[in-house]
Amino acid sequence: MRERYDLTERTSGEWLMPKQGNMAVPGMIFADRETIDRLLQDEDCDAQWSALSQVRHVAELPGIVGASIALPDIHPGYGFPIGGVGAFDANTGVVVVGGVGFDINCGVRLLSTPLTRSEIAPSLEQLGETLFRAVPAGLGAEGNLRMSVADLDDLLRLGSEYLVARGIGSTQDLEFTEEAGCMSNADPSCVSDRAKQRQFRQVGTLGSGNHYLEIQVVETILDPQAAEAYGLFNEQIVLSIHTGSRALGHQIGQDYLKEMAQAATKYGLHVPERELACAPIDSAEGRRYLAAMACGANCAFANRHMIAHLVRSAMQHATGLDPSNVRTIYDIGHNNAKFETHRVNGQLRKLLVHRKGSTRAFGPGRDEAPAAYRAVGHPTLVGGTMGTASYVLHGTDAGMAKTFGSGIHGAGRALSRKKAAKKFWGETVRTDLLSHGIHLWTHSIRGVAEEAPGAYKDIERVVQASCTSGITQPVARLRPLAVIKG
Amino acid sequence: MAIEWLDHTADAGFRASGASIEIAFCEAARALFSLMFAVECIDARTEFQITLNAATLEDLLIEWLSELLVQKDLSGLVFSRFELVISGNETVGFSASGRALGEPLDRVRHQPGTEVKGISYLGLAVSCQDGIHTAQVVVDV
Repeated sequence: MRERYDLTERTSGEWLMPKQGNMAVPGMIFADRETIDRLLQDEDCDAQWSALSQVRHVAELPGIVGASIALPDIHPGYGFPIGGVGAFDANTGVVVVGGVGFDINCGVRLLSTPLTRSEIAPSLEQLGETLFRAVPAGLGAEGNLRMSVADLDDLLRLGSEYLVARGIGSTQDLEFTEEAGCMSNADPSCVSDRAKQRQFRQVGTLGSGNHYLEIQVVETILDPQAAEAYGLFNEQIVLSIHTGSRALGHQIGQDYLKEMAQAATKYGLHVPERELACAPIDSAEGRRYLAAMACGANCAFANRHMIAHLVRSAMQHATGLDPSNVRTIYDIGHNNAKFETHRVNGQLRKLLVHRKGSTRAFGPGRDEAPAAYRAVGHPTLVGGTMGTASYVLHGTDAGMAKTFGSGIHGAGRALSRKKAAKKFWGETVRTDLLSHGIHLWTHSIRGVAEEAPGAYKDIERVVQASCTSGITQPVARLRPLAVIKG
Repeated sequence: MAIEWLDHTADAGFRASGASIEIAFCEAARALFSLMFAVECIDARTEFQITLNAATLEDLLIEWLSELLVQKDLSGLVFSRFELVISGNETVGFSASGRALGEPLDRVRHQPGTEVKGISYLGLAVSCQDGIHTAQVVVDV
């Protein structure tokens, strides 16, 4: 029987889980009351795994700073909750594979076009069909890029830069990609041959599950100043790419979970559950994982970069639009661990911030944001479902203080895949979407049922909770017009 | 299939059971592939040999399922039938040898669904009660 969590609402939408037992810091959960009630209900029902116990377990890890944080899209993950943030002292803390997950640097790239909804309307279906054929997607799909072992190592070391050097995409893409599309501590020698072998045929593939490519329209501008800085305007056509590091990241995660379990024993670390196996940041094992994780992150940046290239070609083919007019607004990951400097109790400290199902959402003035965005803050991209809105938000000073500059990444699932597959029928979902003006192309109608909009929480509530607590502010609401699924 | 699906919102969990540890492991493998493909449509006409070692049965389960995921990508095969012999004990560790049977992926006939990204340690359990062996795991999808 689990311990009942005594959560107290400190201010509206901010819930404190007081320190108890082995917790080194308290838990802080940013969510509306309905979400909190559901999390507590999971506890009362003695659910097999619960997001609150995952918040608590993260709070027990060595060297954690401030609080174990969960954001409004919180739901149970493995190790960390999804929507979880854990910051660890760079000298005394640990690096946790479960704080990053198997899909390293899974994220979203948002592309802008100069076209409006009315301009694209006559060619929308043709464009959707062209994109569906151009972008490899679904289980077993292979990418178009053929590479040698040395090429793949270069891609892991250089990320998107590697592709730009080969004439794919431009430096504008790099400028508007988190980390400029390359985490510099990447070391391919820390990645197993097996991980590399699995990746050869998967560079530039979308994947399946919740990954997608969408043609969207900017339906509402919510912050004109920030929208102008990001290059967004009302009725504009934009494209979103949601995917990650594919098999390479998956294998790095699997390899290092095993290695970290041994490391945790070797260093005598308190690990509350096996999925939170970890190693000191300042250890051979910790450094090796971070170097491998950076390879996974670079692989994900390059993957979205390659897909953006395919999107530009398809746009040109279907609409005649010159590829240079399809610009990267931003590319941001939501499964990673990064060294960052934050002010903690008045002092600047170097921390390793893990974000599992959470993005960076830095406030104004941070060097990590592109120069053009620095005055308004870091853009964060929040993916919706096939039938609901996505959002562009920006980070805030309040977020820097409360969440180490972290924001939400999506709606978060409400139903398991099995339950969704029983409740929804793929073809019915497709018909429903079309009745709302949303076209769907998919390689797996069975996957569509699992990904039905009704299987997710209401993104409007999740965004509202995030913005009520002040950790992000809304910039634009995007509505899907065409969806490509794996 | 002796599979009980567990309710995990983000990922997928299952508990496979059988009259022997080997049957439980093979059922778990079939559950893994049923998440990704229509396993009943996969002909067991090509085999892939597998040998594994691990300190515990729980670790052996992780090794077994993750090895199958790897071979799916490397060989291009998808599997529907599994045979395994497990030996060893807690003192000396466990080993397994066997084979997975399937055929090259056919993206129409096998009806691909959602890719499994990795095998997590969450809820990982291998047990035996009243002669029924169970293998429980949560996978990232």
